[in-house]
Amino acid sequence: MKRIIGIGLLIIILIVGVSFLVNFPIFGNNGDDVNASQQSVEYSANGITLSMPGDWVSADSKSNESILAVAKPDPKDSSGFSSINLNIEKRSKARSLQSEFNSNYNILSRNSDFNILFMGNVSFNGEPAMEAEYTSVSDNVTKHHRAIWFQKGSDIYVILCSAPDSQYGDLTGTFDFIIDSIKM
Amino acid sequence: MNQDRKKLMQILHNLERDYEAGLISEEKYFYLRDQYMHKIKTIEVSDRIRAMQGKEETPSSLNSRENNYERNREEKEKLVRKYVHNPDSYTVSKKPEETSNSSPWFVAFAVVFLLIAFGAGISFGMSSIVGDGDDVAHLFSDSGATINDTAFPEVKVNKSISSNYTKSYSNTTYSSSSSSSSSSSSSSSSDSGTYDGGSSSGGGSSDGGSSGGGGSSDGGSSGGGGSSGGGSSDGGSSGGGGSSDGGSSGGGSDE
Repeated sequence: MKRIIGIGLLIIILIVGVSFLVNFPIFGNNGDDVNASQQSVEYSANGITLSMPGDWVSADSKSNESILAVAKPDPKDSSGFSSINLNIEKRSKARSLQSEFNSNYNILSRNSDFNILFMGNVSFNGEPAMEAEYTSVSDNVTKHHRAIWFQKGSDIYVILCSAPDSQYGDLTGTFDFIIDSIKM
Repeated sequence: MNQDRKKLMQILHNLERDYEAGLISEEKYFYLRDQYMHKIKTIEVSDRIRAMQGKEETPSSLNSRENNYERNREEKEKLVRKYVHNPDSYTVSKKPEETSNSSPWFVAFAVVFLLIAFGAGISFGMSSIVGDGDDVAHLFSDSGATINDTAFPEVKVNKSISSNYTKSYSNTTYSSSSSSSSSSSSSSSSDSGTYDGGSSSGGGSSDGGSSGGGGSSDGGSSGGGGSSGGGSSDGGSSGGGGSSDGGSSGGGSDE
């Protein structure tokens, strides 16, 4: 009996010690946060799978048409929304890809808060797609958006990458990485 | 084979048969079966002990045992109690051992240590969670971020496009004369002057807000031909090919 209690105490001491070392590592290892952004995490929802940097998380989108949203938790805008994000939206029973695309950006271009920078044809996963880059101004903050439109059956999907205009250039690689990893 | 054992085996057999026939419940069956099995084992053990003591079963001994059934049974029970169960001696020898091993100080130390260990573990865990507010949000909510960017924003039209004006103007110029040209000018407001200032009625009415006033100002800037035809907007447009030509040339100079 005495021996069992002794072994039990020893095990508890070991557990406490290990947990202490895990929480407060003695051997300085400050590279964890850096590595988090360099590691990739796989995320899937609604039949869509993608890889994203380790410091990104799944996000709740306010858009009703959103089927998957991921974001970098920081930075947040004045309303508390994560300003660096990627949102995949689906429009069902849509017209043709071309007409939906043109209609959408015709409307956007008639609003002074939006400035269309680029519109053109691209390919996504070997399928024809359309891409638009534009900026928007909201609460005196300019955001840069990149939207890739493609069609699957009667549904039109849009991958929208958004970031503050000042940071967009640094994030193009990240967005490309996520977009390239999307599997549907 | 021992008669008692044989009898018990028979009872056990009957019990199994009754159980298979559904005459007794499962619970009762298992209880009775355990009881009978225990009795059978007891008999086996007692027989083994008797054999070890040199009391082999012989026909004569069997006969004598039949006669002294009660006596044998008592003997068996005594043997079993002595060698198999012996619960008194077991508990008596065990109890002092337990008390001697666990002193109250040792138990108290173990309890205190366990409390400290669990407290430390919980505090470490909480500190690592509370250390970063986002992590807490991440743990307690489905996702750690909220976004409102959408590819289909609801926007209000507050800006017109020059390409739209181009189309409407060219159509109206050639399709109808005065009424259509005025409608085209009203639909396109700011760009009219830049597109074709020489066209008296169009540019004039849009810029000036009134056809007469606009006509005179544009006419003045564009040139004599334009102004003569454009004393009134309708007149300018009704001038036909001549006036339109003059207008277009005037427009070129304006731009």
